[in-house]
Amino acid sequence: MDKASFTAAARRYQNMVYRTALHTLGNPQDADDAVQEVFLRLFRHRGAFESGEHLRRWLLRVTVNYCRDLLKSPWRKRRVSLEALPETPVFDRPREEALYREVMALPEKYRTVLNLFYYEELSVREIGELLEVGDSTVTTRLARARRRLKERLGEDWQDE
Amino acid sequence: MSNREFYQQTFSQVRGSREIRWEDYEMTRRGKSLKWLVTLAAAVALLAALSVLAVAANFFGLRDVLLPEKGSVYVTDEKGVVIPGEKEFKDFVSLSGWGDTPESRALAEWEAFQESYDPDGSIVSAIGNEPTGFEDRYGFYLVYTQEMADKLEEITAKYGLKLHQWMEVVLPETWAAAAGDFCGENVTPYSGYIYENGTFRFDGDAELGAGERMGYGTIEYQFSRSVKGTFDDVALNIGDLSDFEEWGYTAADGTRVTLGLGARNRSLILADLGDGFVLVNVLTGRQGDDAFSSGAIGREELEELADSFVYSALTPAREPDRAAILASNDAYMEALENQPLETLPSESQDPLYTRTGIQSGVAKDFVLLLAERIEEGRKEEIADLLVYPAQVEVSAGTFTVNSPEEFLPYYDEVVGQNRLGLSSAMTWESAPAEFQIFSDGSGLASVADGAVWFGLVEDGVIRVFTIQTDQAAVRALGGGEITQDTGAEDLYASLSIDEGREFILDLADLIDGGKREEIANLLAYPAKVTAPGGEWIASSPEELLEHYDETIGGNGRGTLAADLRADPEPVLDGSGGLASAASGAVWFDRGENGGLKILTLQSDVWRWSVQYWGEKP
Repeated sequence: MDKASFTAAARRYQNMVYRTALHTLGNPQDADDAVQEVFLRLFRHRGAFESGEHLRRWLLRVTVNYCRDLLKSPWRKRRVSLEALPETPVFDRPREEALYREVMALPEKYRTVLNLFYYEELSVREIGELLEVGDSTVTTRLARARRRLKERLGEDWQDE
Repeated sequence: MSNREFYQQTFSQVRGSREIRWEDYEMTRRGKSLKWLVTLAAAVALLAALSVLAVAANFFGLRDVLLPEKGSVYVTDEKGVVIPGEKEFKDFVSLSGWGDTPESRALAEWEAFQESYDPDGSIVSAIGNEPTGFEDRYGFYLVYTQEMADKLEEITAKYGLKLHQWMEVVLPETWAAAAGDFCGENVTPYSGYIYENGTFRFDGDAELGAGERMGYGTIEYQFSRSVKGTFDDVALNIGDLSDFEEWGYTAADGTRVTLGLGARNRSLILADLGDGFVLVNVLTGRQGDDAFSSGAIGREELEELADSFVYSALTPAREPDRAAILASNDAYMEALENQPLETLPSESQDPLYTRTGIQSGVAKDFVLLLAERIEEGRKEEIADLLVYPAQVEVSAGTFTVNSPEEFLPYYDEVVGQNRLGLSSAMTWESAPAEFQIFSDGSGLASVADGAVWFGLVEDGVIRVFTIQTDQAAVRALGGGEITQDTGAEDLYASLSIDEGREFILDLADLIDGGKREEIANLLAYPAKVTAPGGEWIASSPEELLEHYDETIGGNGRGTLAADLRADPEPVLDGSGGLASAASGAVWFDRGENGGLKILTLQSDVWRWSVQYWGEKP
């Protein structure tokens, strides 16, 4: 990948990679590290991308796989400085801050599915393929996550 | 507004804090070999280590080693992380001799050229990761274009200097063979490197017992000896020259040296030996340095450190005996690998030793040697270091190999094609620090962000359990035989999914039910308790219960119990010595009585953890 393509990809997808990493890893410091790692892999990637969508899916897959590998690593959690965790980002509205807090309080498997479904607009099947789980597993996780958000957020989160 | 719109509106406001720049990644391509990286790492460590120094007097002193132009350095935040795009100008000194020597004048010209050449990195970006053709002659210098090569040739011809031709890593016990007996009894040199002309550098420590601060203890420094007649491109950032107290001193061996005591956290020892120049960068000063855990020193401590070296043993400079260095290195490694476990001293201050049985210094030496063997493609030696049987994961599938001979056909795909990336990642950190080794509590140690795992095996030698890259991997099957973890195989063989799941579900019930005493009795002690309110060591269930409500029994107990129920299946770690569940929220092992024992219980969400903090049970 040449410099211009890489720079364009970074500009366009850096926030997506960060959001996805944040959902999976659960803390901003690790998510920042993951962004650097994922783009290092893009920097080293020798294959061609057929389209922007191809690149986007590749980045999503690499991000999710990298972050899940990191979660499996037994020493990861010991590296996190608990005191050093940043504060919650500043949001425009209180209900947005509430949603952020509730999502981040969910276990990883629910956060990841929520992000891929609601933000990245992947279908249940696409999420299942990405995470290598069955459609029913994705559906179950989505349903549980929605129920929990509804319980916590009340009217701010609609019934689906 | 739909839930999707609500979600997108919310999380569109969440952004990372790092800037992704091609140039930053391109920097990683500049390192073409381990030797280059070692040189660069040492240079950067030296450059970054000094933040503030200074001087006053007017004799042959620090001002006389100062380079004529200030050099630009990256600005770092309080944690030592580089702030992208921000630079500042500092005073630099030559390691090669006084400023009017050919070596230092050549260095000054080369520095000035580099400061203005390829400022945006566009040339090196265009070259990419391909060989430049300049490696053979200029492998120890930052040369990647003909223009740079021509400039270097011009400068060295102008001053009548040679170029470095070869370099060898020198392990701690090899310094006498490499450079003679120049270390006093109180001096401990670590690993370093030496060039063909006898120029060498290493990090070390020394025990100080006298001085203004009686019984100071261990002082750390970086030692450089530059032999004249050869161009050396390392310069040292000394911050602002005006912060030093400087005086002349006759060291114990009769050598006249210049001492510079820094007002804050760095000091210098300089010695002109005629055919060589010694510069010792002492990692503390009148204030001390928390980053290096170095207490403050005074004039007497600096003089005592100066007395610790035998400068006269370093002159006349001789070409090092390369064969003797390699033989001594091999003997050191052989002795290390065959050292019985029980002769290794217990070091409670060395977490790596506590968790793996390998001292930090030994582990670093092992990593350095392993990285060099990988970088040089010494495949048979790498294959011999692996634990068998092992599982190989390559593009053609997954296979089991039972011996080095069976592994070698897969070597190139697993290791060979990544040899530079692996060796670089094992020994080079983007921050100016030594490479880091982590341990996971299972008895194994890891470098390169988990790409390489190693540990002690039953016969008391260090072996590699895992090498993994994006493309391929080799992993020991069954966890090998980790001598530190006598229960590893038992757990691997004995823990069924049902038993593990039942244990986790029971634990969830106990947490929900507030059965604090029962939970406390399931944990292993001593345990380090971390919570937003502080850190404590709990030596017994009773002591843990004092902090129970801040951790396990706090607001997050419902979340933790739910997580455990949602993901109760045990997962064995790479060595098979520990099991985890709920994405690492709990780690457990089999205790002495045959029951399962919790080593770690933690919550990322509620920011607490209880971790076993003793030697491996």
